[in-house]
Amino acid sequence: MTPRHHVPEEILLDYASGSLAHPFAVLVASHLALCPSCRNEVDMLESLAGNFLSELDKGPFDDGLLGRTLAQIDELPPAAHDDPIAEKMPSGDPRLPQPLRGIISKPLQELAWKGIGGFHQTAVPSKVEGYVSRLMRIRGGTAMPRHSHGGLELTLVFAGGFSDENGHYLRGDVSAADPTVEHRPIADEGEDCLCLAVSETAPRLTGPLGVILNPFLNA
Amino acid sequence: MQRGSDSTVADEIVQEVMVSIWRRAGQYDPAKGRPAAWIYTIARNRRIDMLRRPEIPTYDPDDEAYVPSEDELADQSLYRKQYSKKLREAMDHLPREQSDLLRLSFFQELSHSEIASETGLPIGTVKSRIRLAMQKLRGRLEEELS
Repeated sequence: MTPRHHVPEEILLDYASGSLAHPFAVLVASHLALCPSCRNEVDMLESLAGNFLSELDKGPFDDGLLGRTLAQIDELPPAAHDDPIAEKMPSGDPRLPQPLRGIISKPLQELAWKGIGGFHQTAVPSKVEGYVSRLMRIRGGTAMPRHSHGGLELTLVFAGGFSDENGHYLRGDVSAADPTVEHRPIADEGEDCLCLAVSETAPRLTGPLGVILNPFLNA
Repeated sequence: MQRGSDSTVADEIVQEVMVSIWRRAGQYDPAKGRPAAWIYTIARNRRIDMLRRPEIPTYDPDDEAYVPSEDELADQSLYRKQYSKKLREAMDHLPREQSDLLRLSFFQELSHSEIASETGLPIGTVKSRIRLAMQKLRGRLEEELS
């Protein structure tokens, strides 16, 4: 079954143009591994960019450019040595697509999980600052505290599922929330819900428990 | 690709991209088509590399978690041959206000929220123009190719 909830189109565009922050791009690439339809969208955007590129006027390149380029090509080592095809696939949990296993290569039980009740999370190491990226494990049937968002938050499901006011999310589905969204996700009964959540700022709990839990969850 | 690049840097990127194309020519898959897209992604990745930003993570079709589309299992060569031509036609039908936003995204490397602050357009307008443009392109491609 292919995903039914997709990455918003403007985020796919940011991904294709290279302007999407790395932690979000990891989530988008992981969704693309699971979603043929968003791969088609990204293919379309890259083809579009290529077409725009071929329409551009020729730049004012200096006369030596071709000569320097050819000289650099002449100095290249033989092709066989600079073709890293056989890079080894990272190990790690097979439910996580490769873009994420490149970052989390240990089995999940070896990660440092923090949490309370049916909710546990572990920080995903990030290459850039200013974002919060977490892998979350929510026991089947657990209701998450109601929370709002200071900025964009994307959540990608790998196992189990959850529902909120906007829909039902299963493996490969992406839930997108922004400051206009306040929601209370509830994990499906049965298998634990395993998902990746990336946000611009830490989400704020807005329910009565929020005051007590916020410092703990964002520690 | 122009943001923050003076002409020397642009020359340098062109040189690097041409060398990359030469080196990777063997990896180009004509069955997938899209030579212009392939060159665009090389140029984009090269620029990100020169700015020392982390490289764009991509999916790997050999990943065991990878979900292939039904199309990938069928022969796509005819579809691919028509794709670029149809996309070009669809592009020509986009309203200027929509294609301008896409150009800003690809060539100034602005995110959609940066486009909103640079142009002074409300973010909702930027999002809806992007979504409309993509729906139109997709709609035309599907109608023409199916």
